[in-house]
Amino acid sequence: MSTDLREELTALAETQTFSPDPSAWDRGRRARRTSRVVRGAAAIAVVALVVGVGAIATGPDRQAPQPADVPGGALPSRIPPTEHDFLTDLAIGSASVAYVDQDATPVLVDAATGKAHRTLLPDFPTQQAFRVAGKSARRSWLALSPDGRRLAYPTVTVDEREPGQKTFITSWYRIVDLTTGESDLVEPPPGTGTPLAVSWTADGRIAVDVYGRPTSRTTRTNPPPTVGWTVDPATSDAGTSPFTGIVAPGGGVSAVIPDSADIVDAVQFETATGTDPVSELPADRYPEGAVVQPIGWVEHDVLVASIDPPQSDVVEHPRLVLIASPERPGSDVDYREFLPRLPPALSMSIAVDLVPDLTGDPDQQLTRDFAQEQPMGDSSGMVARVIMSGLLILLVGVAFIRMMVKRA
Amino acid sequence: MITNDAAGFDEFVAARSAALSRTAYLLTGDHHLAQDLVQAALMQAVRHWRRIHTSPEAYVRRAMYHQNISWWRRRKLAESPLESYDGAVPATDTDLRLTLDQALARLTPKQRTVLVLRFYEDLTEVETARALGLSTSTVKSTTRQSLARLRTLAPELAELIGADR
Repeated sequence: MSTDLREELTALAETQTFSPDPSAWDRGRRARRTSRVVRGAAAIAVVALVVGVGAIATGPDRQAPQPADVPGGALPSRIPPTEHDFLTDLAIGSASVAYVDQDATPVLVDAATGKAHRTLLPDFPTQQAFRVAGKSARRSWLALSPDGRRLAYPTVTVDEREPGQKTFITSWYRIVDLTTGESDLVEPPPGTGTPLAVSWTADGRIAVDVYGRPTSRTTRTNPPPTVGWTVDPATSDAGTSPFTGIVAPGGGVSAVIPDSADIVDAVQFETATGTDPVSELPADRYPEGAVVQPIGWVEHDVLVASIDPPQSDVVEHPRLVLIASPERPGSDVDYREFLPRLPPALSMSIAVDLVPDLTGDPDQQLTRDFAQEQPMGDSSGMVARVIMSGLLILLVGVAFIRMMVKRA
Repeated sequence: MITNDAAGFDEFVAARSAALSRTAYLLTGDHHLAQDLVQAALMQAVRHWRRIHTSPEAYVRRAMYHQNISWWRRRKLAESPLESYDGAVPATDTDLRLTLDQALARLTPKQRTVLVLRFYEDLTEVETARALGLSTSTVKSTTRQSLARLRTLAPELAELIGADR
């Protein structure tokens, strides 16, 4: 719908021609001078000049970006189209976003440049695996570590032992170090199969949601219970977790990962006390609910999730939002959107450490606009400006002293 | 300094005035008003050129959005209300584009501006809200109302803007 309307609006707009007025600058400056004469008294003008010069000397560059200043890179304000070539050398340092596109190709967004690269990852689940999984359940199979330097994913393959009876096989998890480009294999927790979801804990372990032992006859509508495990990627030591989903730093609360892409009107949490609180989606923004996928915790009580409202008149791509945990009710960050137009993805993960410390300011910049950034002005330019400003202030001061001397 | 500013301004006008005027036409629905709107916004930019620390284009566009709504409020005082305000546009002309143009002309400037920002400028709800100084929910509800009104004014546009929900 919106594409057709956009095309028609564009065609309509093309009917407009414009002849710029060549004297616009002179007229504008003349108007400005006139208004200043009317308003200004001489003494106020001198003060304004001094203040103005100071502002020029200390003010930001016209093109200066307003990045989210976090060591190690930044999240992009928009995820750009992927670069043409596949990334084969995985030593990119760190990634800000890792997602699996609709062709089941993993994509990494470089944390330093904001560029998106389709990537060849060893033993990454095949397109067939995602297709088979998509029929019954949702699989979050690509997880970026909080600092963006490591990736984790299961080496899922599909086996068809009998015609029409496809099953998943996950022999290993693979950990890719983006600082070196090297990868290691990690053993799955004992007795577990292919995971429903993979994520990272704040202390650097891999957290996986897997199907546990069934307590009744398993059917498509009655799957086995989901249980959580964590695995040390260095030693393959595994242990069960009291939570499923994505556990907050400190371990007090977890965001439950839905096992299907259904529209919901609340986000589900688990807490250490055994309660299962929910955070209801704001009805004014998502009147028809949304598909919600928890991604990670930026603070011990602030979750990042992707939210994808159903198609409507104002249809948009999914977006990232901050959601306060139920332990932080009435938070000023609740349901703040900060990365719109996520590409359609089978799995989405971000480096949560690249979200700056939240100040509560609604205008706080959480992402960096890589596309708009210009090369930063060099320091010599700044020094020259400071010197020029100093000279101007000196000249104004000398003129003022001479005027006072003449009056005397 | 002034020469540099003037050159920078001229360069900006040469590069962006065509795009600005296309947006201005969609905002006003009138070729002459669009010219005036761009000129007024550029004049405003000249007067504050040295204080525009971010993007000059963003400044000029924001000036256009607000100026257009301000002009409409003034013009409204001299205009009589339409008799069949929400009646369908007579389908005397089968050209879809002309119908869209006529239907857009019968939206309020706020509705029209929100539609232009959302579907022509391709801004998100949040970006639109920020540009117009509105809340996100206002942008969303205005978008819905605008599209519903377009359907009422010009049923033949239903295919273009989608069916009502």
